[in-house]
Amino acid sequence: MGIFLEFKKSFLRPSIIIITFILILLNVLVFVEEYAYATRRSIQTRDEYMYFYPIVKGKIEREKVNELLNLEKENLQKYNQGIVSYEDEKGNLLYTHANRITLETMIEDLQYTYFYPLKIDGIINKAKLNIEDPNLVNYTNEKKKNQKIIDAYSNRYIKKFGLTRGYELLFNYKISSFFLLLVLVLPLSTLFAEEKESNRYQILVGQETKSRCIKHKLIAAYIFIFILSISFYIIDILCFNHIWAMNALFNPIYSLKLYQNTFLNINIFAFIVINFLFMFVAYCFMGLIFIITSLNTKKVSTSLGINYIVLIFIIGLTDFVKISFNPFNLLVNKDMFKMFSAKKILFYTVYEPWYYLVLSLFCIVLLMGVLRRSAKKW
Amino acid sequence: MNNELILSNITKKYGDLVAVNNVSLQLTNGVYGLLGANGAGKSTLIKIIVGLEKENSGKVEFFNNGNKFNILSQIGYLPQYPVFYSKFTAKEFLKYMVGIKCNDKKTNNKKAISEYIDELLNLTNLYEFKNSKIATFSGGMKQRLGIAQALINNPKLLILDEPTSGLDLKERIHFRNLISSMSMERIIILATHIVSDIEFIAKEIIMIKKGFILKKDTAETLLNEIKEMTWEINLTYRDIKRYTSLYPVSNIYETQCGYTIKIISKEKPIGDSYLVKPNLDDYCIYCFEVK
Repeated sequence: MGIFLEFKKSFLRPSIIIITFILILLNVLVFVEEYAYATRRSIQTRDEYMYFYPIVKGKIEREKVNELLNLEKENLQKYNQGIVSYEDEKGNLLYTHANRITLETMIEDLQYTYFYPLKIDGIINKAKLNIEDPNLVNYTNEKKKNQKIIDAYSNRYIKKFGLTRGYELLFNYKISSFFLLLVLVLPLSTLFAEEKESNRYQILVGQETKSRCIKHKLIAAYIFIFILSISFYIIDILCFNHIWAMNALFNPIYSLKLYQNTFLNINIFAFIVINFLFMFVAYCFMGLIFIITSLNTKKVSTSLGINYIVLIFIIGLTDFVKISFNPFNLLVNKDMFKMFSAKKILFYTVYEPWYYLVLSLFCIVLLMGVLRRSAKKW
Repeated sequence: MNNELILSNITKKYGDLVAVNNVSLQLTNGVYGLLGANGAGKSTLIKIIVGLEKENSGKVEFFNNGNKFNILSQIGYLPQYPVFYSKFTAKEFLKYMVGIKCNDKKTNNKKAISEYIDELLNLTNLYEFKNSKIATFSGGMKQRLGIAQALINNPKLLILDEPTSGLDLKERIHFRNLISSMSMERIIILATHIVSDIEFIAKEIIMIKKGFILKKDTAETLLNEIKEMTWEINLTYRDIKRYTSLYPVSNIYETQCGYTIKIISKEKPIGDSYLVKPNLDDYCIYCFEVK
């Protein structure tokens, strides 16, 4: 009950709700602007793509592939004969030039799906050769690495062909994170500073009362961060789904060309969850900084000012300097999962994304310590 | 239940200014009126007791039936200018405060909490406004809500800083009765400018001036001190100015034949003066202007 009321008091304010809506709208507008050309082009291409997609959707079978190849051949003949457009049996008007591009794209996608096991087998074979290489006998780490590649890449194949291009755009997109942080900074900066500024904290007598108040505020803050981040993420999915319909949610993640070499053996849905969780950890980290500032300031304006400067500084740091212990990196995590790269934490070798995650969680633990100290003084 | 609040040699300085100067007090169950002019050190002393300010020296201790307790866990406090969450209704605000002030085990029983909050609202005559937003409350209603939140957890030490400012006459009478009824089982410290609020309910009056405790005694004893010093004189309007410049005056009121002026003076004032029964207002004038 206390947490719900704290949530209502601190986050369900008209000002916060209005700003959230404005920034969500702005996010969509920027998305439309950024993808304006792509949107128009994609929707056109998407419509063409969706026209042919039913032929090959689902389980990959030789008949489907042949039908598509025949269609391409027929279309190419028409194109070479100078036929610009024609009507299909149902009376749909089709353009030979557009069909050519779409069919080429689709065949390319299909070939990727179809030949992926062959490509990956090539890598596995190379890894096996590396292990057996007499020159590498004494290089245990190299052997381990190659064994890991074999383990991760074995038994990989893509059963079904689906619409997955939108997912790649989604994992590339990061502007919404910026808007989300702009929303987040407002209520979190005021969370504690406002109580001091208005002298409301005076009625919270005793350490136990204060601790309970701080606990309720922190839980409410993290509920807010979660709701906000999942809302922005869902809006992003809806936007990208609009320009490129997305399905095949349970296809393996390597069915996306972007992640053909990933070490992960999970489906797209699980990857969306991981992608979201990584971003959520980054938001939690930023949220903690905002909250600590709020705890240590007596005026809302001071807290807001400091937090905006911190936000700009961290964004700048991420764009210009690559620092591995910057949890902000988790917001743009798509590149971490692309390759088969590993890093060392003490004596353990871990995949790069987990390395960043562990470091970020470590930073969060450190900040929690700072928060505890600040809370005692509040 | 025997409660005891002991302040030992409390001193608080702000730079060169000594706001509270070596204050020692021992309080037991009952109402204590804390009286003093603006800047006398009342609020600072209260803030030290409730932990909002840290004393430079001295200590604050609280005992219940002889056992020492963390004082801050025993306090209900209404600050001088309480600010509440205006978007909440009275009931929501009290629920919020119960959630913070009571431990989790207590707050799990929603029905019991709701009944408890209704009880607090009834006690402070706010029940019929329980679903109204605090933003729509008058100053007096906010003050009553502040008292209601101070009563959460049944505190053994209740500290109210200017609790009756903003209350109308009826509300003040109700408030006095409420405080009186609660004083048997707890220590209540009531800092106020409105002397009549404490005159009849305070077990003892604590007079504070420039950070020092001038007096701590029952109202009866204090008034006894000035029973030979409180005078009234009937005057015409023209004479008022002359008397106010000569003597400390505690009251002037209009009568059928002119004006009556109340003077605090160790010697009989000039003119046709006569001794009257003093009240606490007179004692304050005595303390702050004569003594």
